[in-house]
Parts: sequence; C-alpha cells; structure tokens
Amino acid sequence: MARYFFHTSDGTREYDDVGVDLADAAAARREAARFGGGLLQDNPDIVQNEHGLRINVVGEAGSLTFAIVITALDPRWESEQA
Amino acid sequence: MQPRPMVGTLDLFLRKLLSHSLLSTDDQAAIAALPHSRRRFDANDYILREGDQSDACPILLSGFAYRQKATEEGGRQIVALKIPGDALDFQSMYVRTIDHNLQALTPVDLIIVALSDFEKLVRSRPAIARAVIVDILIEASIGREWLLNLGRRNALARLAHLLCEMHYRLLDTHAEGLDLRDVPMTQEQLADLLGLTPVHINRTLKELERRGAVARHGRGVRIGNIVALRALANFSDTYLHRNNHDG
Repeated sequence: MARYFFHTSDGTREYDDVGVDLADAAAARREAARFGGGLLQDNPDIVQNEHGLRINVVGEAGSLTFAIVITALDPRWESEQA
Repeated sequence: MQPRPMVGTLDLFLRKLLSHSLLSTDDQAAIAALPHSRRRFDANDYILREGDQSDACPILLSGFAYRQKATEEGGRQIVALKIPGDALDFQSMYVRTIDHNLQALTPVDLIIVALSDFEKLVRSRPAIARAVIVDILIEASIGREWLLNLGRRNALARLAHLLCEMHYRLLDTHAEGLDLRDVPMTQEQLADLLGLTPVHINRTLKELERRGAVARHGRGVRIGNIVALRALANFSDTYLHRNNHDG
C-alpha cells in the first residue's frame, strides 16, 4: 500500500491534503479515472475550460506519478493536425 | 455528551416509535416490559449477515450502524444508516432470510429482543403493529430518497443532503444534532455511502466548508450552518414523515 494524492486543476487548482491508500500505481490510475468521472458528472462544463480538467496524481515523495487530462477539442484544431 | 441511558432501558426505542406513531401508556408499558439482553460490538463488527436467519431483533442503544451490500468484486454500497433508538431487524418478523449485511459503524451497544416476544406484542396490540409498519415504511421512504440522492444529485448537494438527514433524524430522537457532535463517518465510509471516491468526498467537504455550511476541526466534521446546508441540498424533510402523528 502507498498513499497517493490527487490534485486537480480546472481553471482553479485544488490540492488534496488527505490522499488515499492504494495498492499500486495501477490502482491509483483507476481511482483517478473514477474521480475524474465523478467531477465530470457533477459539472460537464469543465471540459470547456481552456485546459480542461487535469488530475495530477502524486506519490508520497511528492513526485508526479502520472496525470489524467480530460478536455474538449476544437474541430478546427483537429483538421489543422490532419 | 448525552447522559448515558440506564442499563437495559427501552426508553430510547420507545422515543423513536413515538416520534412517528401514537401509543397508549398501556402499549408503551408493554414495550418497556419486553424481556431483553444487552450486547456490545466494536466498530466494523458484523451484527447480521446476508443469508442468515435471525430469531432476535437488535435495537441500537448507542453508536451508529449501517446496512451494506457488496458486489462479487468487492465494491461496497452502504444502503442504510441506523441511529440510536432504531430497531435493526423488524423485517425478520415477516421475511425469513436476511438480505443484506448489518455492521457497526462505531462501537455500539445493542438491546436484543427475541422476535417471538415482538411477534406476541404485535399480534395482541394493533397500535404497536401499526407503529412497526410505520417504522418500516419510513425506512423504505428514506431508501427512495437515497436512490434519488445517489442517482441524480451532484456531489455537493448529495453530501449536504445526507448531513441534513442525519441531523434531523438525531434531533427527532431528542439526541444532539450534527451541529453539536462530529459526523460519525470517515471519508471512506461517506464515499461508500454516497457512491463517490474518497478524494471527491474530501474535495466536497472543503467546498461545503468554504460556503460556511460545515465546520472542520482536525479530522472532525460538523454542521456549521444548517440553513446554508439545507439550501445547498435543497432539503425537504417530507420523506422523513416527521409530523406523522399530528394527524
């Protein structure tokens, strides 16, 4: 078990000061996806923010384990990439 | 702290029934005279298990308990919360097999009454039979409200709604509300009740605190402003049937 912290930024930053004890990074990734799903269900408009919703998952040592980003893409941006 | 009830007393249970039903002094005396024993459980202990058959009805004297069901994969959902004064298993009088698990949330003191004694009382005293049915109906009503709460309210309103409900249910048994005592649940337990991740619960508690509705001190959480909390939850107490006996 290790403690992971789930910080979010969706226009404003929110620091997780409690964290959750989870088996490993894979479990933390699933938890982050569920958490993001919950936030999205609460407020679907967060995808409209300039950078969408970003969840930074940080281990006990303070280093970033991974991040999940949920965002809406502008169709013009898509076609420029094509 | 509440003064501790006298050892073996059924007063609190009687108060709970009287909060929704009228009972003559004769009926009240018959309940108070029920033979019973006392049992103590630690937090997390199982009081009843799914699949078992029960011949006794536990009544919560102090502490909190919850009903839960779990999926094969281990996902747990808390489906009911029980407060002091609540009878925990009226339904075994009518259906044979226990269909969920009942666990202690905190250390609990229970009064154990034999179901056969309850059955005798219910058969011979219609007002008591009616009170038992009203009690079961109100639990079902609370269950319906929880379905709405989990299915359709956002996290802020969902958590605010649960805190409002616990507060008023405690007040109705003349106990201290959540403005004077801590919410008796961890963030993990709130998550298992509200169908949210613990991180989401933590974030939502902070938001409720920012809005002045709850007050946090260390790990403890209390209601800071019940009017603000009610507004955030859009709370209506109709489903609790708090004035049921007023005719």
